[in-house]
Amino acid sequence: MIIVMLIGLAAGIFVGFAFDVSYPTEYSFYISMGLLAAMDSLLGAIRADMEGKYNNLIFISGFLTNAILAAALVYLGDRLGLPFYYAVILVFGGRLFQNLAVIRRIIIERYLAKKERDITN
Amino acid sequence: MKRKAILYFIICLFVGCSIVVLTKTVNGQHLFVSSKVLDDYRITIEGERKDMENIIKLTDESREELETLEALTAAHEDISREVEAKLFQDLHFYSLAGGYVDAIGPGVEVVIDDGTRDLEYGENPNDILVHDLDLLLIINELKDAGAELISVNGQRIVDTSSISCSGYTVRINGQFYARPFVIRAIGDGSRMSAALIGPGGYGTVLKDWGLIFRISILDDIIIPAYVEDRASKYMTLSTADKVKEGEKN
Repeated sequence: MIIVMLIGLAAGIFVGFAFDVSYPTEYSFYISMGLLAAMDSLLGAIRADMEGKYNNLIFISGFLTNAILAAALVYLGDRLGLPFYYAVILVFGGRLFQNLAVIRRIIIERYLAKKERDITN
Repeated sequence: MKRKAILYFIICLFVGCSIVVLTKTVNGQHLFVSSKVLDDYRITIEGERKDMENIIKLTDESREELETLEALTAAHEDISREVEAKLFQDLHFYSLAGGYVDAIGPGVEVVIDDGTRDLEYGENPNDILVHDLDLLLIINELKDAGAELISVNGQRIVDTSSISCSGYTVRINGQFYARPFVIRAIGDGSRMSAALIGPGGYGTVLKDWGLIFRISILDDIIIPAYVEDRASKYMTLSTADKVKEGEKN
């Protein structure tokens, strides 16, 4: 799974460099929000995978709805002149750290459990 | 399992791609463009486009005029009547614009007077007096808002007009005037008044200082002709061969 992800990242970076993608600067915030939503979904999926609760449908629908809501909030904030994107950054950023903490805990628990088994054997 | 791998791959691809795209364009700068800035740019662009259209229209009109005149000369017809009409039209315009005749038209009348409020302790009385600079700034704002003719206290503002401070009076075109000052301008009344009394307009600023500032939109503003001496001593007509290369701007 890690290999697939690394290949995906490398391919994405390659695509980004290979094709000279340009977009109007007013959309840079939407792309940032999409990036945050993608990273959040990715970490959430890894966590669910490790907890054994992974579901394809939840993964993809979560990513899409989160991205759409983030874009809608940015657009609304832009119209109203209010920095609504703070909400998106805070929620997604907070969830990133939370998911990472859970993943770390699971890995450490697995490691400790393995060590315990090794000692008892 | 396979589907999961594909999904992970797609999301990672997206993440990598957008990171690269963002870093390439943003270049480390914070690039949040507010809608107000966008709006300002849009208005500027529209204004420029309108200017271009106007210039194109002007050139078209001039070309048409030239073509008709050329056609008339080519047909060996007598064009003195057309030329005479055109000359009279020009004369009419230049005598109006130059201030040689009285003018009438719709516009605004601005009345400025010294403030009547009590001074704060230790406050400079200059704060509530009308100065030459106030008049100059208002005249400039009026011109910016499309004023065609302007007079101050009946003194026509022409190309050589000056407004300067002289103690408790203001010197306009060499004559001394005391408060109150009445500025009349012919032009688009609503636009000129909006420029002065809108938020941040100079009229609002004067009112905030405590001066008396009134503006009224009128249908028949009369602006008298320029009556002061207009002799010129130094300027002569420049012909093309006297201008050196590259000195024409």
